[in-house]
Amino acid sequence: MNERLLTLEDMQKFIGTEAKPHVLHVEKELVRHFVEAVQDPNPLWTDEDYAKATRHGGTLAPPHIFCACMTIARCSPEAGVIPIPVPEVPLPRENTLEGEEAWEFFTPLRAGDVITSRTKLTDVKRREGRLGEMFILVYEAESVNQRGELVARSTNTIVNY
Amino acid sequence: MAQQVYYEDVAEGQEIPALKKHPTRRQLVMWAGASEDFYEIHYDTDFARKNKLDNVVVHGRLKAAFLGQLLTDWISPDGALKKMSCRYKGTDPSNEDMSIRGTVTAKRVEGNEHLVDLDIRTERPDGSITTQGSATVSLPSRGA
Repeated sequence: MNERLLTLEDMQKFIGTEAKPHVLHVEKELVRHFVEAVQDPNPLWTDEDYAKATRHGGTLAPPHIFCACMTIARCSPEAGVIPIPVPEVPLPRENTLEGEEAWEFFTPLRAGDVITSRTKLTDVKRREGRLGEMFILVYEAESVNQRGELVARSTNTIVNY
Repeated sequence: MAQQVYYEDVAEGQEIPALKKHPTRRQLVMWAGASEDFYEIHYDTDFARKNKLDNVVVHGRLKAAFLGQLLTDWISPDGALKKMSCRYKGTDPSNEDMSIRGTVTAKRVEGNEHLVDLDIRTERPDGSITTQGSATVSLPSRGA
């Protein structure tokens, strides 16, 4: 680790870099693992009889499943490393915190859907703050289903220091 | 499930029914598996201490999922979650009560959609806010 530290200018060259597209098969078991982890007992996610009687005509995957397993978290499960949205882009400093996130939902998700998400680095800023020198990295993702319909957009900001 | 909420039932300033959570370390491990976020600060006390934390902390995105649950509990089955955002302001230890809350900030009709904006947050037992954000949902209308 005797290389020089990456600067803001170095990092800005990575703006636009896209991660390898992430493909997720939404299956009932995936939804079950998710709702059990969250302890979210809403019958719309798992109870077919209940869900059939609603306007949806069947169970949905919860929109907040995007908080777990799409575009952002399923990236770099290495020891001692926070998940990074675009692993192709290096982090300039050693420590990372989750900053903020935003999601926009369009088409409901159902078991059987195949979701392809594309995530790219869209902005890098440098700031002096509470933690000293901080880099703010912004990633944006777009997810479409097997019919090409837009399912969700998400923005993820991490703080690297 | 509670009865379906309609746009006409909602008023600015209204608190929606809060969600109570108590994330145990077991739940954090389940979340790590479900989300594939295996960062050790969320389940390994030694690792967390090396990272200057007193103990393991709740995953930010688990708190975001709790916010999603808060909102979809309130609007299901005929409402839709349109947007949600949050900022991770502070860490939460495991094995502590957490309150997930939302307050209606605005209502508006756009085209044929009946939209409601909310402030959303997670709170520790002392009332400090560790996750804060906003959301937009659409609700069914009694007139439609």
